[in-house]
Amino acid sequence: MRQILFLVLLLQQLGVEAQSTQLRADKSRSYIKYYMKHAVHAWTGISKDVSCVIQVGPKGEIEKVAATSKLKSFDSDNSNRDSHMLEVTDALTHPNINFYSTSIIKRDTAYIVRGVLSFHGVDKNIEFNMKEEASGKERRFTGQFIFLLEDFAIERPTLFLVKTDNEVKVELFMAF
Amino acid sequence: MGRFIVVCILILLGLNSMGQDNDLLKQLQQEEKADTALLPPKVIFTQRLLWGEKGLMRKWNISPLNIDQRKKEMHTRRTMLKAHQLLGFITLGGMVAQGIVGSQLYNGKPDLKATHEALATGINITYSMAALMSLFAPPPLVNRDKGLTSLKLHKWLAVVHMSGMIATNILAGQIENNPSLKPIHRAVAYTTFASYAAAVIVIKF
Repeated sequence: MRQILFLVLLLQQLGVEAQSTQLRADKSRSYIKYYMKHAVHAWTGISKDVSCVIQVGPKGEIEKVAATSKLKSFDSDNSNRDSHMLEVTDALTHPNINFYSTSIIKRDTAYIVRGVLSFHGVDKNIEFNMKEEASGKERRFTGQFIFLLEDFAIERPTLFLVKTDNEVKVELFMAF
Repeated sequence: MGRFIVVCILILLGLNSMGQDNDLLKQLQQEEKADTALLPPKVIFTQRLLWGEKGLMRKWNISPLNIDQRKKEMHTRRTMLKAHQLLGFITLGGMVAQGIVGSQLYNGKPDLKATHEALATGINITYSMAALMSLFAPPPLVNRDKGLTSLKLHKWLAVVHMSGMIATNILAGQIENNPSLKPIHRAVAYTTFASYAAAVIVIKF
């Protein structure tokens, strides 16, 4: 009986490791961008300091994805605004925004990605479509999703005593 | 008994693989270097004087440089910048009123002189308070403006309107003895108002 159990454990471990590989995103070309609005104007912020890894199955299909980025790395071309965002997101306590997948379903050249977004110390399940484009050996993924600041217990920033919109659109581009 | 153990182990294996959804993330987090900088590399001299690494607030141990204290400083900063905005609007309103009163005074209504002087005092007070709220607020968490940004323009315009405020006040004090300075006083006051209004308009959250 013990031998059987040992074999089951060994085969499972070997099976997982032999079939899957990990790929790291090219940091110099990958980015995450956010879009926000206020009554008087709209703006975007971009982070080019994104660490992303995918676990790829034997046929090249994505099995898992995880990404993390420092909140301080988001640049909206206005450091006062960036600093304000860091204040409301309590970046000193929660310096990163993180994501990991819980399920990935392939549909042609796109994936339906479900996972957990961790932001401001709050974990939320999200779902989004990720499209794949292949160029030579390179694999590129694009996706976007929307979340609400208040879902992550974030007090909306204000300008001229007027709050920003609650909705934040996120766009991502990852090159492997 | 043996089968029961095998079933239990297989269930546990299944649960274990489900629980490993975040293993890639954990791997990434272990590799990431934490950013521990509490102050930005560049801080304006007025803020550095109070809140810099060797600033007075640190020396006097009123606000030691650590994460908890920086969080409190961020709260103080936000309050001060909100006050800066509010006082800025009050000052702008005062300047508009002063423009109306001032032009009537120039057009031969000397009874408005006391109102003009009272408004000037009010504007000087709110203007100075607004400036102090910005100049001595705790520094931001990041400070990396490059190229021409709205904030940079706001700061450059502040240099213009602050110089204008000083000049307008000096000229106002000299008009009594030298009435020929009136047109210069008015021109400087209008320039101050224009640069101040532009500074309010260009600033963005």
